[in-house]
Amino acid sequence: MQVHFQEETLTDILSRLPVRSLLRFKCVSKYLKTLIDDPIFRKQHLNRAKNDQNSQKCSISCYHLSSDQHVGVQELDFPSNLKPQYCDVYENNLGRYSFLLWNPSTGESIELPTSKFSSVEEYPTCYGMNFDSANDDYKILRIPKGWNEYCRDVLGEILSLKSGYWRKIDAYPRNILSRLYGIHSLTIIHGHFIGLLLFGEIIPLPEKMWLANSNIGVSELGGMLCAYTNSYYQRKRTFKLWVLKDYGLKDSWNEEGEGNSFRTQRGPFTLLPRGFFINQTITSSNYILKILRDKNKDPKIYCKILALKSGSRRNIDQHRCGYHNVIL
Amino acid sequence: MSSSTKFLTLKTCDDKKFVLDEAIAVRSQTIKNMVEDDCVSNVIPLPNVDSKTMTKVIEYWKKHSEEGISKDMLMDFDKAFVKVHHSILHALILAANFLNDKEMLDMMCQEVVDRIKGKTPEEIRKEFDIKNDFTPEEEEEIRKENAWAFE
Repeated sequence: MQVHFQEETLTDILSRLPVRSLLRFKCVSKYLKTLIDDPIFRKQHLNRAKNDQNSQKCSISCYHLSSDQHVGVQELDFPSNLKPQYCDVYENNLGRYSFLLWNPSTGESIELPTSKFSSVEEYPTCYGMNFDSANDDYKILRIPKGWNEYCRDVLGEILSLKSGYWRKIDAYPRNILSRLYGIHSLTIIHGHFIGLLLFGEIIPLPEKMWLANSNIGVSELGGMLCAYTNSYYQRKRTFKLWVLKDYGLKDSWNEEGEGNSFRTQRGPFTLLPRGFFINQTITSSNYILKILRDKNKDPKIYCKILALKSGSRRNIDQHRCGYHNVIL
Repeated sequence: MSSSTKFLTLKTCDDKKFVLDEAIAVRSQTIKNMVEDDCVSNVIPLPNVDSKTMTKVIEYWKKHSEEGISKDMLMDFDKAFVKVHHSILHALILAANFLNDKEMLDMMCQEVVDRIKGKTPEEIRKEFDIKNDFTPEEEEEIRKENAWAFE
């Protein structure tokens, strides 16, 4: 029996599929390939994946390719021994420094525009990236990392991928820098609220955060800005989370997830909270946290979901990635 | 004072008639619109739905309209309901689409997704009777670009 679903029904079905299946189905027929490659469909897929707890969210991290490795934009290929989980900023040496943003799920990559303010080889940097859904734009944050003489006066910059322009930002306090996770330092809420960039001047961090000698990061939780610390001491990992209930009010920071320290199973490894998301409200007991193991300690990178309040954990299917790490 | 139950007569494309409580039939947004617009004098024709499919649809509607039925019971019912041959599943999707029953359509689409997500392109072509219109070279190229998805 031949079935002819209406296109609307067909895209509905396709939008629920993981990226991995979609990539396979691209070679079923020309019609299906056109549907899957359609930017409107990608957006539909993104929107559904965003609300799906099981679908993996985009993250970004910095790798350094050794300088003798010459790779062109089109030649990037996913390492065969890894399953894609990240959208990465790659630094390579093409006779000059350039940064590539690469989506391993689809194999697509673009070269980031160069900044007219600074040249990247001058100082170590770390990057943050997030999707600004209100403006339908990806923003990439670059901040200097380290305390050498070059870094002291360097301002952070932010790139709007849509416009292709970098602009300077200077609204963060200097003492944050050494404790930043680059990949966790940018979060966008309601299109204009950009996490850590505005800390210090507009939104003071919770005071307790400074007392904990640990790395800090920001994220979005149910539409609200949150900040967290992550410390490792005497084989004990402590994760603390604060949520800003009301923008602009210092006293509005609410400590959440207190007492949620947990012991690591073995040895130290990097434990990073990855994109919070919840299905109900923040006051429910169901918000979850993604954890990533340090790939140096454990070559098999995988994610786990930890329900902060109940303490239960489960593995998630690492093949399920949303299309929202796609940048064209 | 007695409340009278209104009945509607639905006629499928193979000329079978179904008499159904209006309160149940209006799970279909299409039928609901017709009722509200007062354009159902006698028989409602359903030119896109056959009787075999309509029987299943009505079974679903009746179960979901039962009074006092628990969520767990409905879940069990739904689970069993979608365990049908793919040709029936596809017919049900077309019917749910025509009748505009979002809840049912959503459940059916999810079932298709669960069935196809692990399949190969060949299996998809077979299941949906889709003709491969790529040349072997073109297909090879797409496979190469997305090699990890085929591992």
